[in-house]
Amino acid sequence: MRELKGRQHFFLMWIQRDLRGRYLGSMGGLAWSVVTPLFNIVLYYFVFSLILRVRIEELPGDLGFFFYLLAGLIPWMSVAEGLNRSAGALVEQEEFIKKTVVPLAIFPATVVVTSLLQQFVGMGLLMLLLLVTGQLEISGLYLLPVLLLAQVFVVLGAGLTLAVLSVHLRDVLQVLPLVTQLLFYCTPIVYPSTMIPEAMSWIPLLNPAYPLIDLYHAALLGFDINVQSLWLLAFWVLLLGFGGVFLFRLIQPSVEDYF
Amino acid sequence: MARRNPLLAPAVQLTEVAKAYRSYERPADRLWDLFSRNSRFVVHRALEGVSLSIQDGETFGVIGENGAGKSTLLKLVAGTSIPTQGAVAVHGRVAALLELGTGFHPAETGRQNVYLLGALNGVGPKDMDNYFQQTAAFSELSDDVLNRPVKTYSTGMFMRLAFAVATNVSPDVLVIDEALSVGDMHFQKKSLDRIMSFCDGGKTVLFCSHNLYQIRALCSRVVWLHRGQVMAMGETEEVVARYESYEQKKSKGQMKVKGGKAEKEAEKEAEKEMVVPETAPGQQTFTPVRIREIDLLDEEGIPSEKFKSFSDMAIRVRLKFFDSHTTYHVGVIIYRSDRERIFGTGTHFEEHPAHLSGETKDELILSIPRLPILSGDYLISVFVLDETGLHVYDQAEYVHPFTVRNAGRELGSVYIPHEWKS
Repeated sequence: MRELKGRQHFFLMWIQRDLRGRYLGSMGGLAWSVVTPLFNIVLYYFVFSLILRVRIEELPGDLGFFFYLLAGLIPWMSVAEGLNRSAGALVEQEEFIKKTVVPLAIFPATVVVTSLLQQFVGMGLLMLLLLVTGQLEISGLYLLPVLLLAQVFVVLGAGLTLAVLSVHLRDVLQVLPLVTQLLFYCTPIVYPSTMIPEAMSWIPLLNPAYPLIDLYHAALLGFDINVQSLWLLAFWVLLLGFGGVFLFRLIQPSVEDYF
Repeated sequence: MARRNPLLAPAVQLTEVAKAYRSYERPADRLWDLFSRNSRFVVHRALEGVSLSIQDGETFGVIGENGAGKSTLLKLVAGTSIPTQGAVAVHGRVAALLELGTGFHPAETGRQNVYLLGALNGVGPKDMDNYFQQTAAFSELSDDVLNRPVKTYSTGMFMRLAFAVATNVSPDVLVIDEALSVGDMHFQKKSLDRIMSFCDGGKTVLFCSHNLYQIRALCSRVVWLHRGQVMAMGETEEVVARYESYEQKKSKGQMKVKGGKAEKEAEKEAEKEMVVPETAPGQQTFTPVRIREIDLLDEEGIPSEKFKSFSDMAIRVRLKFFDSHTTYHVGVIIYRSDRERIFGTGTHFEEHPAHLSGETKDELILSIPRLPILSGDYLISVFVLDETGLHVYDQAEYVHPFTVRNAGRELGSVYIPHEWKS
């Protein structure tokens, strides 16, 4: 973050350019940023609720699953987008970086920030929906700012490292979508954590997204807060947040020579 | 930013700077090298042991062949590259004119690009509108154009905006890498004037160019880089002269080996570039003045092609003005028939240059009393330049062949005044 000092204005302008490029660039513009997540939501709802009949203990019925799906999927989509796009953030801006003096961290950081936008909109709509159906639990909402902060730390740390890694090893960009897809199915988003078989209970311990999504469920839907998830999340924040920044600093000086 | 005391520290200081690039067989090797010490790579040394200091307000030139490390040096000072060894210290804000069009996004409008690049150059939110006005004015693009995506621009329009953005900076140190020839004639001159104003305005300028004419005109000191090392550094004339003789020796050496006509032509091209600015007059674009007629006059003032040594000769240049307010200078070069330069001069080389303008004079005579040229065949070139002597409005090259006959028995091309003593 120290690198960004004195460059806040440029950072802000760069975020604006990223948003313009993302939401105003293509023909459909804003429409696609609504259609794509909506399509995913409908698809998962159809497969997992209507066909596979996945049920949530705390929230019975199809509607209950629908809310559960949204509470996990909305932050997940932002995490996945933040990771996938920040990994390519430096490679995409090769020309810009080669010829200007600008802190490299700005590029992945921008993507992480802009990916939060759709999450804010999504969570706002979800809370509105819960309010209308009379299911809004305010008891856990105080957790949201903490979770958002933790999420930014984890995604930014991982994103910074992935960004400099993929400069040296382009394969990272090919492998990453597979990894995020794996993480998606290892995280209780389209199923409740109670459905994970006993023999596979170690999986959540290795998945940084698990405690995050678990706590989002608790915060948005008023479920009991799992203390183990809090500890796990704190662990990942330290490891990925600080470790990521450390690795980024280590590899960063060689980026300019490589381009 | 407060002015620093120039006696305290130089504006730019390089101490034993080296830059080496490692090239790896596989990309993964480079990554591995960050964590272990026994990797496979080939080291390419771009700079080695370069030390120099540039004083506040100085215009410092960088010359050398392709691949000598000039661009690496500029990048290090600009801060886009980090030295492998040694230290680079720059005092004050640096702006670099390394390549035009850097950072432009084709899908964004001219206006959006200017705002973003302004922020990149450190323009704050409060000054931004003012900054945009200035940039737009310099680029001479209309509001309508500036609100269109940059990808719809013509090359000329794009270059104008890019140059306006690049030079609308107020750095303490400006790094320029031959970005002079852009756009049409009118804009080329504007760009050159902009760079001149940086040099005259007390800014520290680091200027790299192949164009030795411009180096001579702009720089007070020069460094000559050769294969990443400092070959010579010091007063412009001294270093440039050494570099020129090196270049000439080199191209002659190549000619002996190959001896082809093409090489000879190439050499002449290279030599031409040393004498006059590279900004050749645009054939289609508007130029405010053209050469109408050139005459060589003998001692009686009659146009001729045959001259005698030690008789008076004059070169008359007549100009045609399309804009009579144009101020100008005229340069003349005399060559041997193999295009080896004998002598060249210009009105702007005079100690007190006359103010020449289309309103007062459209004819100029260079009179050469007692022509000190010996027997042989000769050619001339004539240039019309702008008031700075850097920008070419029009040129007539290698024209008007003439012969000179010497009644005496002296050898060579030029008569050197002498006397024998005993």
